Amino acid sequence: MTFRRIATAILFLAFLAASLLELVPKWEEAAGKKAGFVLYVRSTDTQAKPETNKKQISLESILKANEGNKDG
Amino acid sequence: MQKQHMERAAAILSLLVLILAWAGGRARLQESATAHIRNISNTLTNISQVSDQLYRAEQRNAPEAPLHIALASRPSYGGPLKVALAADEKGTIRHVAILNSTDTTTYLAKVVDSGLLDPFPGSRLDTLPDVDAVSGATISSTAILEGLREAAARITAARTGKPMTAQGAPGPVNTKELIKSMVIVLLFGCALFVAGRRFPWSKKKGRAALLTVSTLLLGVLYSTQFSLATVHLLISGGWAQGLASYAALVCLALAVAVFLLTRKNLYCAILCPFGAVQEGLGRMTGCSPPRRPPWMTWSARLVALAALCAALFFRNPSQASFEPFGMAFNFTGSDALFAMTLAVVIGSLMVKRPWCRLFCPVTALFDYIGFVRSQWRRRAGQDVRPKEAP
Repeated sequence: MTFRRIATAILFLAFLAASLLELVPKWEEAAGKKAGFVLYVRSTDTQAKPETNKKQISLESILKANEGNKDG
Repeated sequence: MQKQHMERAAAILSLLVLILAWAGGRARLQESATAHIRNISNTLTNISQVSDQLYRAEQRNAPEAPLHIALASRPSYGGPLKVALAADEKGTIRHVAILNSTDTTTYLAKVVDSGLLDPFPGSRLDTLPDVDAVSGATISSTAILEGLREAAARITAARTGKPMTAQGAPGPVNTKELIKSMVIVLLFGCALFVAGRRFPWSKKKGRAALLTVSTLLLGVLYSTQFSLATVHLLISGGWAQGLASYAALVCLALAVAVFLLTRKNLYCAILCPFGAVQEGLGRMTGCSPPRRPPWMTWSARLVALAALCAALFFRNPSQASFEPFGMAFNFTGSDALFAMTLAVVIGSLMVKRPWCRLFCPVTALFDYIGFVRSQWRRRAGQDVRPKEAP
């Protein structure tokens, strides 16, 4: 009887932990998205935002940022 | 008595929280299309609407070459799937994007990782690439491809000044889906017959046979069983905008209807494929059902409520999805779901139907419906009972 109780409790905690591991990151990700978030983009333009919607640093933008720093 | 008061308070509180989440989700939906277009590429500027679902934008790096951007929405598994396609004046596709989807994230990722979108950028509007739907995620990939074709037709029509070619009415229910729904209705009919008094043979054998058939059809062949995501779809009204598959919704509606009419949860007892797999494993060791203390019951209910609220707030059924059904029959899901499925398989050898008895959100749903039903009947009974003379 005790073994069954322990097994049941372990199983329940395993289910609880796995469900939270599944759900919480999804909720965090959804909460972090701003209005107009785009899920996936495929583009001919290298400056287009990638699928994660994070800003991609292009070579052009690096060169532009370094324009006033030509002396080194 | 105090326990019943607490249960009643919890039932009302749950309903209030769900209503709040639903209202919050509705407010979140007021995202403008312009915000979506702006996020397709950070080179797009001066976005203006030309007509319904059609926009025009300039490119920062090439202001003399504006882009036409068309949006399109097609019914997918979890609700409407919205895509965008941007093409230049010469008719070359520059960007394709999936703006919004309520499909399970892993399925959508599978579609995109397979390279479904890759042939589109660079190709021309009049010669769209011939891409096949992704096997294992046919509904999502078909919705994306049809949406992109519709968006391309919209831009072509605007460029040539000709009316847009018909792309087929959104939300067509194909024959396969119709057969699937009919099979579900038939299975519920059989379940009612097996559970009824007029069933002439051994109920035990009838139940075992129906569980086997249901596992083969709903689990292995169709991979259709309702979950918390289906409950979200029903409550949020996402089904009203068109779905590619109504099978899970039909399953949920029938399960609830049968429960309300007969007070028997026939779906879980006789039809659930995942329950059948657990029961089959349990038969090997002859184990008995686990005893669930109240803290487990309430924790499982709390997780189910939180998941449903999150799905309603973010208007995405995948936010409520934590059941290992997809992993068990389709081998699709995250590492956490794989671990959970493994725990269910091992647990099934120790106790009977561990997932169903300990954690399944469908059990929590039927607990709630059963409680509301009993309260309703009690109240109705009190109203009917004649008042005693003073």
